This record gives sequence, C-alpha cells and structure tokens, in this order.
Amino acid sequence: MPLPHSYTIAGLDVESEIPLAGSVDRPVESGVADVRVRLGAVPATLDAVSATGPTWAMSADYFLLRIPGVARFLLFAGREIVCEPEARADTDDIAIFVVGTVMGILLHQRGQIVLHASASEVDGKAILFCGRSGAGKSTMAAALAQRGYACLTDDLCAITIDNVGRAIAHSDGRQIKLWEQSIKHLNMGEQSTKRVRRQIEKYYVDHHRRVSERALPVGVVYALHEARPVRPAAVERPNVVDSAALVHRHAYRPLLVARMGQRGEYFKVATTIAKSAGVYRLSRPMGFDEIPNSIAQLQRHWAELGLLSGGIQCS
Amino acid sequence: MLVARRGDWLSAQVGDEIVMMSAQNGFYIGLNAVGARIWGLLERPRAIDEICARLVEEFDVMPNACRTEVESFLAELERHGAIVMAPAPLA
Repeated sequence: MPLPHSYTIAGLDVESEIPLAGSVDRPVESGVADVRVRLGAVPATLDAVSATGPTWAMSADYFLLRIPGVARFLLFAGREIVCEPEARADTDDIAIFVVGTVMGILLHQRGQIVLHASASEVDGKAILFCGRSGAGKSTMAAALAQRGYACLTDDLCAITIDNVGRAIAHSDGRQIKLWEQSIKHLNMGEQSTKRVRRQIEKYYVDHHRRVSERALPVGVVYALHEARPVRPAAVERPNVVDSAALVHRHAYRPLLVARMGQRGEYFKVATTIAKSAGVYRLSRPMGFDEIPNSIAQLQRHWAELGLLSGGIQCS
Repeated sequence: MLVARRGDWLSAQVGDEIVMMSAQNGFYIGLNAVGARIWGLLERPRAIDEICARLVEEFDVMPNACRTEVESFLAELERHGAIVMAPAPLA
C-alpha cells in the first residue's frame, strides 16, 4: 500500500507515513519507492552486532539509532526506516532526524557516497562547502540563496559518478535550515516558518524559488575554515593528495565508511573530484558582517575558474 | 637490499601524480612522476640497485644523486607501511 507522503531526497524516491516537514513534497506515484519510512515497534538491541557506539549499533543489514527524547530508528538494508517515537516527541521532531542524520546513515548503508557538505547551484554547477556541524555550511548556503544561487543541500550531499566520469551532487530535496542567530542577521526573520526543533533552535525557512532539486556536476569544493586571527576571506589550493584526502575526510560519517568497508568507493570519488573539480580551503571570518565580503571573494574565484558564464550576480 | 610492496593500496592517477590510499587504515599518500615510476617498478619485488639502474636510464639524473633520492623515498614509503625492505632475498 502506498504511504501518504512522498519526496525526492538525495536522488532517492522516499515514501513516508509521517510528513517530512522541511522537505519538498511531490505527488504520490506508483508506490515503487527506494525508501519507505514507517512508524512501528523498534527493538532495543540487535543480533549479530558488528559495531556499536553510545547511541547506535549495526549488523550486516540493520542499523539501530536512538535519539534520546525523540525516537528510536531501525534502518534495514538501505530501504526501510522504522521509527518508534519516545515519550512526548511529535512527528515534526522525528522528521528532522529522518531527513538529516537517519538519511545520511541510510545512504552509507546503501553504499552511496555522502559528504558532510552544503551545495549551491552556480551556472549549472554544484559548489560544495564541506565542514563539520557549526562550520557555517547552512549559513553559506542561505547567504548564497539570498543572492539567487539556489540551494541543493545544506548538510548532507549525496555524490554519484556519471557515465562520463564526472562527480554529480544530488539535492537533499529540503528547504533550507538555519541557526536562529543566522536568520536574524540575514534579515529573513519574517520568512521563518516553523521551528525545526525546540531544543536546537533551528528554523525552516521557505525558499521555494531558491531550492534546486536538480542533480548537478560538481564545479568546485571548498573546505570551510574560520580565519583566525580575523583576516579577509582567502582561498588556498592544497596539493593533490591533500585534496583527495580532504574530500574523503568529509564523508558524512567517516567512522561508518571504515566500518562498512567503503573506503575504496570514497577513494574513487575523492580522486575523481580532485581530478575534475578542484578542492580548496576557504578561510573566512565567522562574523555575519563579513558574509558579503566572503561572497564577493567567492565570486571572484568562480570567475577565475571560468565557472561564471553570465557575469557576477548581485542581490 | 630487496624491496617489496606491502599491504593493500588503491591508487589513482590525478594529473602527473598518483594518489594512493591504504585500504586497511584509509591513509593517503601522493607520489610525483618519479615516485609513481618507482611504485610501478615494485609490481614485483626488486633490488634497490635494479630500481636505481632503471631510473638512471629513464630520467636525467646522476647515479649517486639517484641513489640518495631513491633511498630517502623508500624510507618514506617504509615509514608509511607501503613497502618492506629486506637484506636477504624475499621468499
């Protein structure tokens, strides 16, 4: 039986029993989804565990994850997600984790390449910003969306290699999410729709015209760094081996790449990107006042790289 | 001194260089054109003397300088666990 909600997330058709707030809903089709999200009973432990952490355990086909106060999630073979809510959690709270952490782990379980990166569309290419949580990926994606560069993804970026050997970045199918502090400074307060999650104070922002659902070739990859002491934004190109290692290191969950025996696949994508797209370190001050300067620096860099065909866009 | 590859390494050509990764621990190393040639020669175990002789033929380099460079390069590879060096013929 088809489930009531359906989405395209990271290139996958996802059917869900619960609404995945923040994702762009699309018409329900034939019911042959890649991934199904259901509510149901989730066991407390797994059999034949191959690796564990404080809140998770995995076996050959299963991955069990607990988000305290929200839900327990059971992922099966990269196809099924079962959610058992914990006390007082509502489905919006659960949805946040389904489209984020859980989907990222599911992509690892499917053997797909997924980077911890935001991606923006610039002249038909995907520009990736890699960084850990808090590095400024969402803020960069939002600031670029304000200037007309559509956001493909703000946290997890699925990558495939096409039949001519190019790395392709996939949209996460989500509206942008942001830290509350970021929203205020970007003057998007009135656009904030729904609090993402009370505890973490993120907001969904309606960006329909600035969300891209396309899959685009990777144009360039930046690893985000804070410039200390504060200096103007600067891009620096690491050598080839550091470039490849840097992409590999920004796997969504590097530990799972190792535990799931997927280093070879990540090596292939990392060297493909190092070869075809160019990898740079982007150091910039973290202050919001500095964002326009950082973006101007980026636009100059895109022009140097020949990524801009129609000149520089202004807000 | 005989030299042989060690462990399971993946490699990919990127421009003039070769990027290699250890499948065991995910460690990355990069080889320039000469390093890539030495790695290629090590498809089977070889004596250092033999490696140096081949490089002197193929590249514009003096034998003594070549030997010094090769030894320091091999020491580096050994440090990263990519090769083993043995004084006696390898089994």
